[in-house]
Amino acid sequence: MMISAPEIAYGIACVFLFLYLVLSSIEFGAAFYMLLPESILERSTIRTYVNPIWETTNIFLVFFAMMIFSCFPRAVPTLSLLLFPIVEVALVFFVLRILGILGLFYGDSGKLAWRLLFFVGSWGAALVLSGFYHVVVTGTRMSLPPDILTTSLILLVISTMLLLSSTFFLMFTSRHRFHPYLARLGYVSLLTWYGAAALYLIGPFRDAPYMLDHLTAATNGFIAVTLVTCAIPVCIHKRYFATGFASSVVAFAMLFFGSAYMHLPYLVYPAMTIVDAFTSAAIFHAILISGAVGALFLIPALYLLYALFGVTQTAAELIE
Amino acid sequence: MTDLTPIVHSSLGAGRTLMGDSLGFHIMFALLGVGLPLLISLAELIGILKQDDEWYATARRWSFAMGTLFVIGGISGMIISFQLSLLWPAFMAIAGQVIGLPFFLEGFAFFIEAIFLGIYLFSWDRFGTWTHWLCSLPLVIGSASSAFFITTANAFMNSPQGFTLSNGVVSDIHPWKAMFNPAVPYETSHSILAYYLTSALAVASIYALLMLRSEVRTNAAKFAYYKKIVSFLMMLALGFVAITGILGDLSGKYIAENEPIKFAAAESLFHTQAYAPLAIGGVLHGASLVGAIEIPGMLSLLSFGSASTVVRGLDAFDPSQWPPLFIHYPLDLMIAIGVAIGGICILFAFLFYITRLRAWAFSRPMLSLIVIAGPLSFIAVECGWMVTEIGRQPYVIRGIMTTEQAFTTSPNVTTFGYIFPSLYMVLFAVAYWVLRRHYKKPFVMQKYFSGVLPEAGNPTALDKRPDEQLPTSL
Repeated sequence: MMISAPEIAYGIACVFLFLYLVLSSIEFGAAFYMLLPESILERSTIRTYVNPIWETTNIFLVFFAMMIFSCFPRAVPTLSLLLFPIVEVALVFFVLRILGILGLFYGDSGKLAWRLLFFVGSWGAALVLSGFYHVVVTGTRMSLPPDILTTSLILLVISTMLLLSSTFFLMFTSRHRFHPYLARLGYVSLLTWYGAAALYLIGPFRDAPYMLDHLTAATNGFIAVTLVTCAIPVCIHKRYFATGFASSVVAFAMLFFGSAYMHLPYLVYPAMTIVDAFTSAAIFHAILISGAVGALFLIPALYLLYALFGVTQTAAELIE
Repeated sequence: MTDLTPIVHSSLGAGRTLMGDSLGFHIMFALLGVGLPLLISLAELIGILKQDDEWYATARRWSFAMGTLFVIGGISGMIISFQLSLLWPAFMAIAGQVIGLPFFLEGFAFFIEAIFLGIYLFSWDRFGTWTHWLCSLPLVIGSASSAFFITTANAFMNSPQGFTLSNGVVSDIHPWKAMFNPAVPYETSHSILAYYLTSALAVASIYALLMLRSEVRTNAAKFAYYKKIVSFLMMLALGFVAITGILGDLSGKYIAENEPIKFAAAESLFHTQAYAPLAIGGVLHGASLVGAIEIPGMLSLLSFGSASTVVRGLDAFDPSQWPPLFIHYPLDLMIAIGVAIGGICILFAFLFYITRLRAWAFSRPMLSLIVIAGPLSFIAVECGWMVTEIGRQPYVIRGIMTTEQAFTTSPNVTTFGYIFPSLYMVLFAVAYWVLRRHYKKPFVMQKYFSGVLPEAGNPTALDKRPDEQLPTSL
């Protein structure tokens, strides 16, 4: 089966969004942990993670947005109208988050006000942006009282942030006093995440009947997600933290890419399919070529950052 | 289902203001994001070549200011990238099909810049000197490329080409032709050089301000160190202002030829005529300029190389196509500031190179002029962008789509028009607080990575060794 150009563009956009969601979940989780008292928290190590990385994380979101409006420009008027208040409010939260980051990390102040700004900005942005999925799946914004999809999205966003961040910081931190808290948080968020994921798959079937075409694929996918999910508490218990984090990412990836697949052929249901919204072939080819050339620079640069980051971690452990 | 029926464009003014505020705020930080990497890279290179710890420490200290300013530039840039789609969806629907490429490339350049900023900031004690300096090059290239790509998209709005628009459908698209449109060489070179100039003057202005303090003037070692920095920056500024001036002249000639309505409005030329006068200053009263100093034939001469050339005035165009006439003020202000800055740089160079006058180069009057030049250069950049953007009105893509056609039909634009400028003010205040705090207690971020505070250029370390005369504040 040949993959069409709109499907390739859609897939690349999904990869950027996925990378953003994973990295930002860790960061947004860090914003939550920064509220904990210093006696429990390994704050200095968490700072070393957030400091050099956060700007790199945001760029994946910008890339996702760039992919949408450069590869699917005809969807911009529809998306803009539906997403205007959602994205504008999210941007306000992003500014609050930056204020917190400036005060905490660049101003070197541990005051509660900066930590609260970092937390409120991060979680506010995440929760508001969860409305994006509601818009593209149902063509409507979230409303009150919340429907199944809205409820599941809110739960899913919170539990994903906590699950990915707790498993990540179990791997990344070294203070044993901090680990039991993270492990318990990991278990609780995993249970919530699993329930929310089930709701999340059921939710769209009510408002977006086209997804019923993918019912079998969704069922099989959810069985696979369940199997991977079962591995997470085992890994945490056995202290295979890296595997535990990897399992969390894989489970989330299966859910994310599975639902992205189920959403096809629509970009915004029911107004716009990915084919209707697609850009000119000339632009797409130019973007593909320049993207490939850009990757030649980006991948070594990211590796260098990762290498430095690894050294940094060791230094942080030495301080500890 | 959300109602997609368009509502009246009652909030177009709010949308324009919001976009203008966002761009005006972003450009101040973005230009430092372009200029500071070059200054820092040069300072580090001089430090390595001359084996001069002062230069090396200076580069190190500036780099943390760059990191802080980059954070603000990053978030304001992100806001603009989203607001372009939210406020001007019809524009983005066309732009995405034709000029999406530079937006995408800008993202890549910014990514490279962001990665190497992290590497550069946190690897001072990890890499050798040359390796660390090499890491500054992707920063310099990435920031300049980022500015170049995004300015090509703006140049497209002024000089659209590379596509055919028929009945609202875009076809026959040539992305590279659209990207490398005729306005690109003029707009990109003039703006990027202006960013370098402004960055050099901004930093020189801070040092000049410090040199006015009695505490510094009585400390010979510190005064000598600051003199070294200010001289370097002012010589750079002299080079940049000369090139920016030449590029500005070429840019003006291009606009006179290719964007005659913008040119006529900016120069307040109301009547088509040969020997067109250059109007300096004056006050607009409706469609006339009162009290301006007029130099006969000068506009024709400057724009077309001959005083007898006929220059089209606003009367040659439909008044519905005229941009707001007040763009004459920002153009005049930008040119006046450019000339003043050029004069300050030349005066400094003259005093500096005549040995018996050198002391005057660092006298209070001269330093005061340098202090003023810093903020003035920011105003000049803002004015330049005002002429470019407001001068294109009523179009968002010249001759293709009006700003009103591109505007969103969403409600609540006015509300966000109040919220974002307020947030920008808070960001500005917090950035100032962070920088002040940082230079009282530098390298705190680095402590988390190396476990120790570096001594070179670190006032905390110097306080313990008062006999050494190294720089103690920016």
